Amino acid sequence: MGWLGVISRPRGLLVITASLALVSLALGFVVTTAFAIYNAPQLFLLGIGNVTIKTASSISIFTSITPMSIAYSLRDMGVNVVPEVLVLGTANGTPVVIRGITQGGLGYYCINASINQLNRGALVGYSLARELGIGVGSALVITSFKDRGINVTVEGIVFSRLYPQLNYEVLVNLSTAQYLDDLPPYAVSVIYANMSRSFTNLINRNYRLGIITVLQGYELTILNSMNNTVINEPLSNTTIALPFGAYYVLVHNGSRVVWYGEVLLNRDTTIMITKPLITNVTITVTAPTSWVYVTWPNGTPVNEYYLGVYSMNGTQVLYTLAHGVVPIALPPGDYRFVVSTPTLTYSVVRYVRAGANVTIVLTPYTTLISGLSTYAPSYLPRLTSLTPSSGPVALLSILRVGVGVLVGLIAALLVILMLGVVGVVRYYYGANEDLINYLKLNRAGALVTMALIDLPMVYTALSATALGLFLAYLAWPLIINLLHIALLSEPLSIVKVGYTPYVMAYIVINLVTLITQLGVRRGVVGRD
Amino acid sequence: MRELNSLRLLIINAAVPIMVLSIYRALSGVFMGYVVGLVPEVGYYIRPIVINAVSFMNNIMYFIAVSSVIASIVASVFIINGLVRGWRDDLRAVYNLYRSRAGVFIYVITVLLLSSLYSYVIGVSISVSLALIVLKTLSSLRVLPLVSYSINVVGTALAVLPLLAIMAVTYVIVGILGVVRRDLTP
Repeated sequence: MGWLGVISRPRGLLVITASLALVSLALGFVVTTAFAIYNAPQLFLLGIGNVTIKTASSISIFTSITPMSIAYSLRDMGVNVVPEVLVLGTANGTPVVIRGITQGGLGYYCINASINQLNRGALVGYSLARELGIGVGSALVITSFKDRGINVTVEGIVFSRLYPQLNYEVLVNLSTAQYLDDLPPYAVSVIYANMSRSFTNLINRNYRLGIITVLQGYELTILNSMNNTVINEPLSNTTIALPFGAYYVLVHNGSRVVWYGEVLLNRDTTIMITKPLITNVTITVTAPTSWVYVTWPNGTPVNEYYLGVYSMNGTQVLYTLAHGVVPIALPPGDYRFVVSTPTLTYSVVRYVRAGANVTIVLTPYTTLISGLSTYAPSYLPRLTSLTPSSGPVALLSILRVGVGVLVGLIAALLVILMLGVVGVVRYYYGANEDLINYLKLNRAGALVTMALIDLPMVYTALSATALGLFLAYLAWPLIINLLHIALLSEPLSIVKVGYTPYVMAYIVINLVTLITQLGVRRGVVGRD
Repeated sequence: MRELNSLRLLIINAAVPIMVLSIYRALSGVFMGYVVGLVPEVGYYIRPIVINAVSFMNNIMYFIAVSSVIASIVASVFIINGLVRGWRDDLRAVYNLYRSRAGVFIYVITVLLLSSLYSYVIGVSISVSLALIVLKTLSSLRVLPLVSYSINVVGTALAVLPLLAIMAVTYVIVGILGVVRRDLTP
């Protein structure tokens, strides 16, 4: 084996190191960006507490409508909860996130400000204030994406190391944010809570409330913890499915309440209404003049939604959580009906006439998206007539198409970069063909060939990819800040992606290198 | 060349950045085609937010595409530099054929320019096909909510032309420098 002494190290290792490090650097950027986009809700959802309650079906937190009654019900059970409203909007013309918080929120975010300051005006994040060139006492014009605007005074500047997102946002009190988001007082975007996981499972379910009664000719009304009617129907032996929460059950005959009880619905429950409990409380039930039918295009009633009815001068005359059909008692005239479901806000003007029903057919979000996607240019004149709901829908559709195209670009880039890895490996074996032939002529064993040809490539690949990915880890936030890649003024570098994308990229790139190596090696080393 | 492998590697290496840029141009073209028709029609109050979201998506795509292009161009330089080293015997044979150093340089430049040109044709073709496959797959999986889309092949091919020029110039410079530096001509 004296010939081993004359053999130097394989050629091309430096080229391999540089090339694989660069490919890994690019791959590191690609996968980190992909993970950052996937985790982009971190920019808005701060996740205080250990549980975040939002509408499961909503694509973004900005379309989530969570009943405030959940917060009240949980609070009744001794759970620490913080409701929050998140609104897209502009502050002095700059796109920003407007966060509606409570006194509890101020405490959780460790913000050194009082609720009175929040009630008087707005708190502005430090970086945003610098960008807008404003300070305490400055005027701020806020316009939400639902075309609601307010003028406020800046009451304080917020700086947070714990939640850097707040440095780029506008903080207002909950009711201002609800106004900007066109939400009723009993709906918020999200509720943060501190509770056990088993408790979380309780909230995510519907429960059956069984009613057993011998009474006849009475009405059953069920109110949630915020005194909103959720059920109003003739009393009978029945079973109703309701989400988790505290409810008040009332039995009345249209003018007199004869029975009431409270029920905490955290398991299937049955209540027995056997005889009138009280007879001295009266309520007034206005006889409905019309019924509002809210249906999907195929005629199916909409299960659960908020119905807001506004007179043409903008005054709210009704706002209720509703199921299917809603009775209304309104003087004849034109009214604007706003139906909000977790996935859709639909606004339409209808004429109400006593005795005549109002039917509202919702255009589901998916239908709109499909229509927009297919006929975007020709559909637009009709889309604009849907205003004000067309704005959020257009935004969401653009974001969905953008994210879809981005996923496509990332997938394609991964394929192309892997092709680059194949090229690098082929280069290595091509550059060392003389050495391989030399080993073959000297009848070197498989182990010797592996030690001299294959293993150096493996070591080089492992170290070069590690180097490239480490550089990507260091450089990614710097480049993102340098290029000022930000969504609603919040830089993407705030998103914490952790080590997962780098570990995944490391495994994938080295697996591809190894598999390619085996394939190319077979063609070069295995050839006689 | 000693064998076809070398030429194939040259073409693949130059094709990688061209593919990256053309796939970016093709896909961002689909996105912008959708956006351009929609943005002027949305309400004035939401337009800054929509433009912000569009600009964010564009910046992200641009960032990952450009970083990949730069990384692959630099990697190509390393590869071509390494490949030139193995051309000694071929270049001697060429010198024997032409009996002039200029002939050798013309030969090297021609091979590198042709490699770049092939890379361009192959890169754009593969990218457009890949873009179509990706779009079809993602729209079938409903990740991309587009039912109809079109890829501007001519626009993409034209947009990548400057990169072809960059690749060709890079190849020629690195190739000539490699030949001169290592004194590969007799």
